[in-house]
Amino acid sequence: MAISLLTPEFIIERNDARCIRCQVCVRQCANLAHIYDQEEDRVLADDSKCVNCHRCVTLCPTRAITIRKNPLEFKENASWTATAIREIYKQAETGGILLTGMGNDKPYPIYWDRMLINASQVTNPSIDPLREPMELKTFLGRKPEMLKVENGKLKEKLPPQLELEVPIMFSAMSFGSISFNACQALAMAASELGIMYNTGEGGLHKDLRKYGKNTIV
Amino acid sequence: MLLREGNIRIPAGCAISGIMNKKGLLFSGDDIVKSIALMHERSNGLGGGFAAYGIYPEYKDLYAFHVFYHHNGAKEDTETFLKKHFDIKLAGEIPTRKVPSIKDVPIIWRYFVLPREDKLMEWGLAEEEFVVRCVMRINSNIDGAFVVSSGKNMGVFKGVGYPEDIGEFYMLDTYKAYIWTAHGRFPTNTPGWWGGAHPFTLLDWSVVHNGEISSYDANRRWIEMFGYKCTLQTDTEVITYIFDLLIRRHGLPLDIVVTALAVPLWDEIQRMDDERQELVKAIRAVYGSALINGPFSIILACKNGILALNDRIKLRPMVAATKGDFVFVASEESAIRAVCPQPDRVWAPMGGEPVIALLEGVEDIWP
Repeated sequence: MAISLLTPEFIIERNDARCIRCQVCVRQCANLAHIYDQEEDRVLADDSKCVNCHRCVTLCPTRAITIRKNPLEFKENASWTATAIREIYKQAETGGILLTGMGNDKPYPIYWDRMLINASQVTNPSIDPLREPMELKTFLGRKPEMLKVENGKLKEKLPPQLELEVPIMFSAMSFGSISFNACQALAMAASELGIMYNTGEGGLHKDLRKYGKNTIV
Repeated sequence: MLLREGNIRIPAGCAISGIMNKKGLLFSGDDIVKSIALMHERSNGLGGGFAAYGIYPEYKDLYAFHVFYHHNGAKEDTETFLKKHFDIKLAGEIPTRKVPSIKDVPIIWRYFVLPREDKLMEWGLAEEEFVVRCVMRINSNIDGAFVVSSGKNMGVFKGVGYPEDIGEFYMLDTYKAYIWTAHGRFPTNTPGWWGGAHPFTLLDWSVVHNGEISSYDANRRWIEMFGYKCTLQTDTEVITYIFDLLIRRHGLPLDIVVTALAVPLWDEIQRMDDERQELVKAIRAVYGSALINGPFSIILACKNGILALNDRIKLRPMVAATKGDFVFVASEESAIRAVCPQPDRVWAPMGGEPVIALLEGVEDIWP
């Protein structure tokens, strides 16, 4: 295997005087950054595997672990920042495109945060919940073009309708692609909000059956 | 410099008024003009109008078309269209008086017509639906021509000006009707023009409206799916078409129609019994787009009677009164007392609670 040009982003520091060799860090690290050397009875670390999640830091009973940013400097300038150089190395090494979740992680202007949605259509001043009721309940399902009413009663029942308190639904995410806890959180949120979540292709865990009213399988 | 929105405020608000005799007794337009004139301050001279029912007894079986033309070309095109689709029994200019404040008057013509039998057969439509489609076609296809009213034994007289001047202009003192409704306009968001004055009509329906419909675009998109075309640049137009669709075409009882337009809030629906809840839920699910949001008080009139209705939280004023066979509805109590100083009963209807007055011997508002 070729030598990686990617230097570790973080450095794991262990205060050996505090370490009691309990190896909780070894067992808990998802990236296998901590290694126990039985011969020397020492806990070692591979900095290149650390993503600075702080799991070992918080679980260490003697607070022996500190994670620091790697102070290693790049030969950088305004065009070639350390971040840009690292990202090129990363993509060249893995052949993949870098993805980040939860929005933009760079200090670019986020226009959405600067937008004001003015809910007025023809009303000036704009409508507000004090002057006018705002109701969001939505029905999904086939509807007849017109109703037939006789003696104050419906002549024909409506085809089945999904009733959503707000016009929002969780999209399909399988148990498996997300954890049980995440599925349960979606189910709880859906039933709390009066909307629907969707089990995707992942099946329905039996503990989540009680949320059936708000579940699309 | 032209002031921008928010920097200018003209203190005014629309005014509506309606008078009806439940026995069908005809009375002149003097009272309705007096009633609406009392609310002069609520208008701003950019629109006034009247609907009158029972004014053409000698032609009561013919459709009376009142039409505005902005130029002679529009008149020629419309008359060609009318001749092709209708038998025109009588046509002529609507008589008017010169009134100094009424300017930029369009050509105002009146036709008494019946749909041509051969066209009815060719289109395969009932008479009323045929008339509706012809009205839509004139309003949307002929530039500068607008059908102001198209019902039988009724007519609408409207224009740009204060309502009392419009009444004077059209010589309403010379007409006799058993229902009169009136409107003084304060256009908030749309131009003040002759076609845009109230009432808005279709067949026998006419609507006068004080308020603004914030759901206008949702209502318009929905009603246009049923072949109605909104061409008059004013939100009220859509209310007229919703009534026509729900009452005439869908055959719904009036109380269901009222529920669809001014539907109870969900927390009220929750407190209803199961059967009623199912019905109201179905109305909201199927006719959600007919819900009129925003502040309004309206008077719907047709040959059988009137319906007055407020938005569900009563954001616009409306008072009703009775005296013998007469029913009065107006934006202000003073406008009723101006013509009927001592009514038998005066009340302010609740939001969403309709006031319905039908002619004696008539069972429903339609047919």
